[in-house]
Amino acid sequence: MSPGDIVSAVLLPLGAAFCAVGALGVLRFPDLLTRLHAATKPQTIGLVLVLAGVAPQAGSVTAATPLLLVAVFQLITAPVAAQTIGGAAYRAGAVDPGHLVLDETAGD
Amino acid sequence: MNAALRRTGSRLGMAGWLLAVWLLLWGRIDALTVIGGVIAVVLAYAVSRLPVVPLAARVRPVRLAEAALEFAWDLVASSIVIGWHALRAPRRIQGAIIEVDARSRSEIILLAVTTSISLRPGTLLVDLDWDRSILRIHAMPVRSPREAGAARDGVLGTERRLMRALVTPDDTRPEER
Amino acid sequence: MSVVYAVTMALLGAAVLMTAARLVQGPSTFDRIMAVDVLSVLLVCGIAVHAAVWGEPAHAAILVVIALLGFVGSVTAARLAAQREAGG
Repeated sequence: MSPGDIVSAVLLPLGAAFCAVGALGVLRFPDLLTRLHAATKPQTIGLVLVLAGVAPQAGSVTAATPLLLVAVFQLITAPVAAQTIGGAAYRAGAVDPGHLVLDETAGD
Repeated sequence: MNAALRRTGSRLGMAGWLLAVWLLLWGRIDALTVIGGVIAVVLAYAVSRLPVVPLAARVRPVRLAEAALEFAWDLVASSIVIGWHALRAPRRIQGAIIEVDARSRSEIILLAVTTSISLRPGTLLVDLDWDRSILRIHAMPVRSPREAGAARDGVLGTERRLMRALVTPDDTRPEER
Repeated sequence: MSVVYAVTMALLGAAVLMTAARLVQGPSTFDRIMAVDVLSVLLVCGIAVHAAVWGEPAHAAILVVIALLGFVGSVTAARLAAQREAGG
């Protein structure tokens, strides 16, 4: 195994494991906002790790650079998507107050 | 004049980023892709009138690297924390919606703060009041008001670090509250 | 390396199944939008790994397109769903 293969052998399963744990959270967390946490963070780190694991297998630097682009897009877009979905659900009243110990906006 | 200069700088920065994306997509840099990219960026500006991105007046590189490192660590830590709860006792998890009074009035700082808190351990932006700089954040896991306070301190700490890294004209006015 | 790819794909496959279960369950439209968003990320992961297995660098452009489409799709869907819920 070359050094690149070792990097891939570590990063690919690790990234996929983050994705799987995040998906578990998406399935099992009790309300929309907590599920949204699980949908954003583990998926983002998982994708970045998988892309980093794929990069050594790409064969050349020019073939690997678009992977960097995908990672950067994911880092920029994941929080925006989560905020849009979370904000839309919150304003539409789709958030279940039963799962909140504290809501400082409830008095508004 | 200063504002016009900043607007031009911000446009050029955006155009540079678009050109970089174009070149990354092609995966090579030669005369053809660079010229094609410049034409594509100019066309994109002409057609869409891209918005002016707010710009920091001054960047402190070491502070910015610190903030970036902290962000990378937060991203890993948040995934592990959320993953741990997903594996352990997902049904009992509870959260809270807290309001955080941001000190900064600058768009770029608030943008960086919101992006970073949405990827931090257990915080997620649900609403943002631009006029009053109030962030409404869902935090998890939060079991008591004291833990909600800890989440608020974490957000304010991130903002403080980012304000140290990026100096913006909106926050350096003397009449700043 | 084939073991590594098999493990990676198995984990990603399990993630797809769990997310798909959430997509079917809902209960709200926002849950479903979120599930589709996660699926698009998992799809990008899967294609990237597949590209590594077969040594196909040309897939990289497809990844960029899927990543952006997934994002634009989720944001648009969330806005529409919010409008619909607000309008009754």
